Amino acid sequence: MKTDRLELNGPEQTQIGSRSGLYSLISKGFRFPTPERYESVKSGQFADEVQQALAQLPYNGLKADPLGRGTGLSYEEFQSHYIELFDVGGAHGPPCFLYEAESGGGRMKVMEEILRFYHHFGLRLSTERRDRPDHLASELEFMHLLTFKEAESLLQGKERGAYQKAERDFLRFHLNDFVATVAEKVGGTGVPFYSGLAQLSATFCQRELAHLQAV
Amino acid sequence: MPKSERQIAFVVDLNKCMGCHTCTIACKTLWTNDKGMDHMWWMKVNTLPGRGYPKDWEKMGGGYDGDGKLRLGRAAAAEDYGKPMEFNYEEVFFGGKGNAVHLAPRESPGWGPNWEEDIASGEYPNAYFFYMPRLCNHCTRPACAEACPYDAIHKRVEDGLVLIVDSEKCEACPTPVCMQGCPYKEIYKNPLRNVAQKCNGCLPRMEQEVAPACVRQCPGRCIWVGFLDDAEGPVHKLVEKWKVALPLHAEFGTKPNVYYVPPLAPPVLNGDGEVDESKPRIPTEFLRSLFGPGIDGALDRLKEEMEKRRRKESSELVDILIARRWQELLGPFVKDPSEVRPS
Repeated sequence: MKTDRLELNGPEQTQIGSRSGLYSLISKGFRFPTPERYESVKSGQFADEVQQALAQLPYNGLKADPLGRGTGLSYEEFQSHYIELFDVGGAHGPPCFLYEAESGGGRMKVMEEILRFYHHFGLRLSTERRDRPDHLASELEFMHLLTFKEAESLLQGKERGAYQKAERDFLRFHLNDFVATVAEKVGGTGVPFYSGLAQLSATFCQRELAHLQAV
Repeated sequence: MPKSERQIAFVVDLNKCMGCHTCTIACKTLWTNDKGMDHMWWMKVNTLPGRGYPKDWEKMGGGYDGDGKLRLGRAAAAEDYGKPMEFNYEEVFFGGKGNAVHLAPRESPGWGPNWEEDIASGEYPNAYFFYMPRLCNHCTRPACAEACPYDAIHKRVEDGLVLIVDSEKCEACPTPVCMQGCPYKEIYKNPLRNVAQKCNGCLPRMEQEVAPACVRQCPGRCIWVGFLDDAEGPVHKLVEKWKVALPLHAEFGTKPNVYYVPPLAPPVLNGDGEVDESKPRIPTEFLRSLFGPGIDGALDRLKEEMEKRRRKESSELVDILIARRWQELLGPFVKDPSEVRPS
């Protein structure tokens, strides 16, 4: 998904922009690591960008520390962590599935509901990737879009309530519980980067839901 | 027969094929959904060990003898394919018989393209089976073409695809000699049109840079297509560089161009139910009978490279086999069919 850059002014617009940016960053972190992503984690650039977004959020208390910086892992080791955590391993699959429907709720029901959300806001699944709609990265990317549209509406003086409600409902019905499960399964593994990313995502979504419920 | 300048080849990873038959149906609905083609499954998935489709095709002969001379076998007969299944829809839906009737073929087909689906061999608890998608091998030395007395089958110079190019000549042929020549029994006779028909490699798609339907629709990402001489392509690397993709029954002498990554299997369980890593569950002898002497090296290389990946080292071979980017399966035929207008 591509979103244009918005020229945001004032604290309210900047806050929404930062929320949107953080969803996008975390989403990228949960995709299979490309060499570029690895480099950005290794150099600390990824953590810096997260820190930058965190500093502008409408609520305090989130830290990018658990992401670590300057990881000493090789690219192969970094990839292997992802594969061992999310792709393979164990008699019953990987330690943690990155697909929401695998945590329960009925595969068809979960995927259909998520697709309806995507379609309502004009999104289609990428044929480039050919992945399921309930992948954590896709759900985070969807939140990136909703918050982006919210910022755009605010900028253009349009009504943004529908986007806020959709953000709240998508978090409440899907993402919030899902990332909490991921954090529970991955957080305790101590695997560099991913345990931190999972914890950060869970706290972020929790705070997001509380923030939106108060709006 | 003129030598092809380039050769299209397919690689099928038998470790990834899950027997879903999507390739089968992709092909069936595209090419063999017409009258007289009920028994034609240009792409089908057999469960192995098994008698395959047509029934016992491996025993029907064809190909070349040890001196390279054409050796005609027998053509598959109607009973080797089984009767096309006609279901009792009318009776079930409109017959007023309630639960007294059930949906079933009107008469027993006797055989079919996946007749032995999921039937395992081996002794309990060490049962085993695997799936093998089969299609025309577009052989480098096609016995069907050499057998054809009317020169109706050609091997294309530009890509090595083997096609029936002259159906009028084919119609004039009183005996299905091409079917006797092909040792893989991948040529079918259309009894209504009295012509031979076979997999065309989805040439009309390839001409538009669209991958063959079986490759493009495989949800398991287990079939690659590409030019064998493309040194940077996965087909070349799996066949020539890593030598983990092997032809089926190379001893038939036709130099087939469909290659298979042989199946690894879980280890054997001993009498106490404990894992015995020293013995393969799928007998290597059986795999050798399919893929020849290269099987041992191929299996060893697969295990070694997988082990490297487990040690968190890089492995080009494992990365190719995983195919995280599904477009890598398509070789140069990367266009989306929905974006191509029929000419």
